[in-house]
Amino acid sequence: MQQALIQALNGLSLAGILILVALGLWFIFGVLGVINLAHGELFMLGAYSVVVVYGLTGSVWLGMLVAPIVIGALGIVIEVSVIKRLYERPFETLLATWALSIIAREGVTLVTGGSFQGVPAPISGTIDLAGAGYPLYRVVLLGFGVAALVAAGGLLYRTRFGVRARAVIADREIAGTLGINVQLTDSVIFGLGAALAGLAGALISPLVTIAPSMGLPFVALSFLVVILGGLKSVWGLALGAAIMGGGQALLGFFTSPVIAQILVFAIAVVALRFRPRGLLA
Amino acid sequence: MIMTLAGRHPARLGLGLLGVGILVLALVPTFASSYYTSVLGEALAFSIFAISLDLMWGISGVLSFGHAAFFGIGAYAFGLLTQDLSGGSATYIAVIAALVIPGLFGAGLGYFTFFSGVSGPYFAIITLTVALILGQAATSFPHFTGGLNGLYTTGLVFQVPGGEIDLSDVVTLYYVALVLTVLILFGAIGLVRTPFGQALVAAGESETRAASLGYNTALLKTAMLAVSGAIAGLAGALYAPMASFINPDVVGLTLSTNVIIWVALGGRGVLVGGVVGALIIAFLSSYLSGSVGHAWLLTLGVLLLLVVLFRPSGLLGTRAIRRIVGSA
Amino acid sequence: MAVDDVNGHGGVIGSQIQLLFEDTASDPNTAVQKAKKLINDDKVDLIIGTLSSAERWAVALSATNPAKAIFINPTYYEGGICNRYFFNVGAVPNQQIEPFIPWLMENKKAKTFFLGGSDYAWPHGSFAAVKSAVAKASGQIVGEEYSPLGSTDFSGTLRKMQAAKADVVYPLYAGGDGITFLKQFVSFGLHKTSLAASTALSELIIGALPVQDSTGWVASFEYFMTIDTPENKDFVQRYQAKFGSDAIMDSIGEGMRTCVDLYANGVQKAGSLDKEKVVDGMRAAQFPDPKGTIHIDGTSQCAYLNDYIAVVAPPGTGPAWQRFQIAKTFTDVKPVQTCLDRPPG
Repeated sequence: MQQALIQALNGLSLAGILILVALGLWFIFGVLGVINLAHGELFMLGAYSVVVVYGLTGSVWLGMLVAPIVIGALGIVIEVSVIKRLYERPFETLLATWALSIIAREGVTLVTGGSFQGVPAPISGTIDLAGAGYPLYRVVLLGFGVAALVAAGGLLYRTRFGVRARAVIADREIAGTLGINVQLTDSVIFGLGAALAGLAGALISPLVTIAPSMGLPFVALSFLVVILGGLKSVWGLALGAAIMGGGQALLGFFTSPVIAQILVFAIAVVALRFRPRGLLA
Repeated sequence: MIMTLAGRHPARLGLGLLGVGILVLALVPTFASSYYTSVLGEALAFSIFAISLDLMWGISGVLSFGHAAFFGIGAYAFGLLTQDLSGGSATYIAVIAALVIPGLFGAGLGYFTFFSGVSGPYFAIITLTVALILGQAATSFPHFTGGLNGLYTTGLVFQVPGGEIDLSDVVTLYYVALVLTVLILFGAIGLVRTPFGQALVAAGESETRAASLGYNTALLKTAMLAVSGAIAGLAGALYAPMASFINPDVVGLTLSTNVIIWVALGGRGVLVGGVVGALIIAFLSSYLSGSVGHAWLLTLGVLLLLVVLFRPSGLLGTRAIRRIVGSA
Repeated sequence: MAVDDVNGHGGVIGSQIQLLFEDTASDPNTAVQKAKKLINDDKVDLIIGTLSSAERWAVALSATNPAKAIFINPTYYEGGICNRYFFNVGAVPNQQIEPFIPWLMENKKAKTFFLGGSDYAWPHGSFAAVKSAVAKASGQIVGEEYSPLGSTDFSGTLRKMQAAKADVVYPLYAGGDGITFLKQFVSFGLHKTSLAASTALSELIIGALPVQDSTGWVASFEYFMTIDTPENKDFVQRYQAKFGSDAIMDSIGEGMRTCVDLYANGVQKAGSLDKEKVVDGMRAAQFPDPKGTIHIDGTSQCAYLNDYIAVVAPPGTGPAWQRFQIAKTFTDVKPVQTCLDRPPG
């Protein structure tokens, strides 16, 4: 019972991390229909933003505040200069965003010389969980994940902007004829998605080694989460993240992390094939 | 002037240029050092791989983001079978396995996806995931695959009527690769021009239209994926003795995305574009490894972006050439 | 720097050494190609280098062994390459591990060990050596877990480590994963209850972590910058004079120096540049090196090495590399390896 509780928490903390990354992707993929293969790099740049701010000011919290703003702005720039030209052309967006991810990765490698960076956790210390320590920061992360999810839901279902965004999801053309500035909505949504990725990277930065390739493992995983969760609902996303993250943790505990990763991917592929519209569809 | 020439006799000009290209390639071992010959030889194996991707992507309109899965399965199948045979002599069995196993895998994958309406971006993501799974599996089951250290394929000898082909000699391998590349290029072009190929071109342009004409697009695409998989597997088997060992890199995401870059830049839908892309880029990548390597990769990324934005068909993906090949 | 030293002393029997560099980007395929280029096109007399095990095996089996080219390896690795033309001056697992485990059990009161590593050959090989050493000393392995390369979250493994309450946690994760693991190890508070000890805690890794967290950790290597011999002090001084007072030299970098010296001494003994004579010369060579006196074991063609066990001192005693205080030196440990004709799975 105890072990199960602990494992559940482990799984949830992983899910929390995944939700943050996938949420940004959901906005871009789910709302705009754009396959953004550079999402992992937006995440990575968010982490590096923290490194830079930490280096300049010594404050990790400030870095985490700045990161989503910077990356969100970068997202808007990308949308306006690249993505806008490529709507309705999924292959081209795939390739273009992949090209951007290469540019980001290699660019950062060249600038940093490929060395590993790290930042300390803004909250250290552990809470006592069933007789052993559990990092407080991870619990905070989980809280952030849930908060972000709720905020996203609130944005979409309780604000005027949300109404417009949902109109654009439902039907771009009609939305345009209704006087909604589709162009602007697109840019804002992409920027929002990017900002979320940047925030996720910033929040995770104390937990991992910060390197140019840190975004790669998250790309496939977050796409799978988004697709499994279904493109129509934010709650499906939570479910997808819980399954992927929780599944990996659970399986990893009973088998090995390696087998767990392979199994989770395989299960996702199978689920995708049988439920391409998402698990909740 | 070239355009007018092309306008009058495009096929002849194309063929002529191709002939010149092949001739130059054939003469390479006479003036290049063994290092450059071996690098170019590997690039030729990669160009066969590029042809296999283009058959799915440029011709049939299906982008596979994990195509190295087939290349790698072929390479590993070839490597494993030549290990088990005493003395490390390659036989036809290994080559056939390198064709059949990836081909079957392609058929299976096609059945799994195309027949349930999975297409476009979803297919891309599934194939991406498959590549990741295989890459991880190849690393983590070393008893089978040699793990990160890889399988060794040195000292192979191929028995043919009339003697044997020494597969550890750089020049021999180079010519084998060149001959295979030419054969497969023309074979693929021929395939595109068959009714089967033309049906796929139609499906690639508009699936609904093709379906409404009575074509079973799912079956067509599955068949082509099997063919593409087999060709990619052959490329992998060719690559194995060249690199003298096989490691999880041959099956993973990096190679899968590299081949997309070669085809995207070299020209999509014309088959020869992937060849040109692979030859130039793979060669330069080898040449420019190291600290310059990152700057080179950055340049590739920028080039890819520019091509996608302003010239999506790539260098050679022009309408004229597509018409020659039969894909437009 | 080593090459300059040798050339400054009159070179190798009168000829100057010339260095050619090829960058393999840690990719075995590239490594093989570059090695073949060096052998066939540049006609070098010897090759030194390779960092990862995959590269090493690839270069040895595909390039240098078939061509009978001299190849000297500077880095610690899992061992197994046996060839007349292959020499290894880096540690093989038994040299780093056999003295280490009993010392840990005696001096750190360690009875139980939890082994965590990346899932590939080197950690597997090293842990095999650890397990046998622990068994010999009547210790106990309470856990062994491998994670995929590039893992970003070790919470599952860490929870198991917590549950097992091991005296020693022995991490062998590759490169950046090692840093990630140790960060999370500290974040779980495990560093308060278990000692981190390993044959992978180098100056580079410790330098990437917050200073106070790594106090007390133990590492075992054949070289540390803090080795207190005149040879080493002189070497470190000159190195930092040339490359900067912050420049770090870990056992891998220092090993390259040993390779050059081995070759130079081999040629000296042979009195000629003829390959076969040089090989015999290297087998009989004996010379001083910052990490101790080097001589080659005839069976394995690996070097006899000292094993240094260092404890990480509390912060405040200077830059990261100075915090490794040598607690014990085991001199002249004989290398033992099993020859393999293919890399271990």
